[in-house]
Amino acid sequence: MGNLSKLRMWYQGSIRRKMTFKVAIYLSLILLSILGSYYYIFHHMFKFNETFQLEVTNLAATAASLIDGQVHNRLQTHPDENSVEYRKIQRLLQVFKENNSRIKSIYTIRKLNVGNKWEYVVDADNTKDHHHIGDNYTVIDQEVIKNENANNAPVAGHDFETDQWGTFLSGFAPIKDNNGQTVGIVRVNMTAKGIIKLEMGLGLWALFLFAFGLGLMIHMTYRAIKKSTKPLGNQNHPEKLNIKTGDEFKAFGEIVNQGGDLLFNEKRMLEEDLEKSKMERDKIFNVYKDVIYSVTQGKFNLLNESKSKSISCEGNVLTEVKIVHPGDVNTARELIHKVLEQEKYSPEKINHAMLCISEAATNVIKHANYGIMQIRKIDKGIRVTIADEGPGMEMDKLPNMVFLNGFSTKISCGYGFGIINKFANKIYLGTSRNGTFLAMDFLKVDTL
Amino acid sequence: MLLKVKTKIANEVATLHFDGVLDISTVESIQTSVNKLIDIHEVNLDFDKVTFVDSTGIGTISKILRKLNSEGVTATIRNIPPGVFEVFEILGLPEIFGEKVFQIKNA
Repeated sequence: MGNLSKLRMWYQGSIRRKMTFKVAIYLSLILLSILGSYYYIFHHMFKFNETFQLEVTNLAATAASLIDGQVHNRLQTHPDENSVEYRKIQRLLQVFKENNSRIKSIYTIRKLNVGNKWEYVVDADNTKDHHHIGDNYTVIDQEVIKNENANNAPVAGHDFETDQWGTFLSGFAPIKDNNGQTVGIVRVNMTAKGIIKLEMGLGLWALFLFAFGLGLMIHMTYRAIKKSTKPLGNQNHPEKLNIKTGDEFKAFGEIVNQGGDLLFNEKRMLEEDLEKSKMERDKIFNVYKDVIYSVTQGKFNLLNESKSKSISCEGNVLTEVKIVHPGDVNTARELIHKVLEQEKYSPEKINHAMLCISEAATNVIKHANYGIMQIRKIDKGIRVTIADEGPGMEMDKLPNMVFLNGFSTKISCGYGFGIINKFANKIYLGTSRNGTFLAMDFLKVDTL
Repeated sequence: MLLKVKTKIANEVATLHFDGVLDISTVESIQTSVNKLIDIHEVNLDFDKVTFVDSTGIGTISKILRKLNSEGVTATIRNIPPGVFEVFEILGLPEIFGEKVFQIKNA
C-alpha cells in the first residue's frame, strides 16, 4: 500500500513525468499488440508453406507408388518414346495431372551410372517442347535429390521456384522396383498461385496493421498533449492565464497569451471598421430612401428588414403561387387577372397590373431560383408581394432601374422596374444579401 | 403552349403570325422561329392574336429587329393591339426603330 501511494505521488509529481509515463504506457501497449499481430500473421504464413510442402510431397509419393519400377527400368535399355512402356507411364502421369489442376508439370528422372549426371525419362507433357527421354536434367535442387537418394523417402523442395510459367513448389519421390531399389524419381511441380495471393493478402494486412498502429500512436500522443495543454485554451480574454511558476508550460502559456492579445486587438479593430461601414451603408440607404421617396412623390418606398415584415403581413392572403419556372409567370398573371376582375377593376387597370406582375415574377426567374408571390386584400385595394431568396440588388443601381425607361439607355437590366413604377400605385422594396422583397399596391381608385 | 407561331413564306417575304403571349416562357420560341428564316429580304411579324407582351418579350423583339436590320432585311410589326402597343411605347421601341416599323391594329 505504501509503495502504491509513493508511485501515485511520483506519477502526479510533474506534468512532464505524467506525460512521459502516459506516452510510454500507450506506446508499449500499441507496440505489444502490433508485435502480437505480426507473430500471428507470420506464424500462419509458415503454416501455409508447411501444408503446401506436405501436399506436394504426398502427390509425388502417390505418383511414384503408381509407377511400376520394372517398367520404368526397362526404358533404360530401350529409350524409345513410342514404346509401350513409355506410353504406359506417360498416360499414368497425364491422368494424374488431369485429376489435380494445381499440378503444373510432372515427369520422371533418373541418375546415370556414370558421374553425378541425371536425365529425363518420361514427361506427362507431350507437346512440342516437352522433355525427351535421355535429355540432360540439370540438378538445381541438388540438395534435395541427394537427400532423397540417401533416405529413399519423398521430399519437397525448400523454396518456391519461379520460371516463365509462374511460381511453383516441387515434390520429389523415389520410384522403386520389386527389390526396393530406387530406379528413378518422380518430380511434381505444383503452382503456388493461391499461396502467393494469400501471402500478399497477409502482407497487406501487416502493412495495414503497421499504419493503423502508427496512426494510433500519433493520435494518442496528440491527445495526451492536447489534454495537458487544454487549460490554456480555456482562458477568458483579455485576462491572462495563470500558470504556476516552475511549470514547464509557463513559456508556452505566455506566448499563447501574447498571441491571444494580438488576435483580440485585431478583432476589436475589425469590429470597429465593420460598425463604421455599417453606419456608412445605413446612411447611404437613408439618402436613397429619402430621395426616391420624394422624387416619386411618396410612391416608391425603400424598406429595411423590419419594415418589410409589417408590409408583407398587412391584410389577408387571397391566393399564393410559387415562382420557380418560366411558366409560373403566366400563372401569376392569370391569378391577378382573376382577383382584380372579381374586385371589379377596370380592364385597363387589370392589364397594367398583369404587366407589373409579369415583370416582378420574371425578375425572380432571372435573378433568383425561387420566389413566392402572394395576392393580399388590404384596406384600399390589392397588394401583391413577391419574396425571393436571390442575391439581392445593388443599392447604387436602384435609381437607374427605377427612373430610366426603355432600351435607349445603356442600362438594360431592370427596365421592368420602370414599368412597375409607372403602373403600381405604391411600391415597397427591401433588398439584402438574403433576398429581395417587393410589394406593389394596386388601388381601385387612382389616388394615393 | 402559351404561344403559337405560324410562318408563311412567299416571294422571299416571310410573315410570322403570333398567337398567344410574349414573355419569359415564350421568347425562346420566337427567337427560334426567326432564326429559321433564310434567304428572306422582308419579314412581317403579325401581332393580331398577341394578347400580352412584357419587357422580356419587347427585349427579344428589339433584339430580332436589330439583327434583321443589320442583315439588311426589312422588318415590320403589324396589327399590334393598342394594349400591347402601349408597352412598346413605354419602352421606346418606335423611337429607336422608327414609327413606320410598328403598325397598330385598327379598332
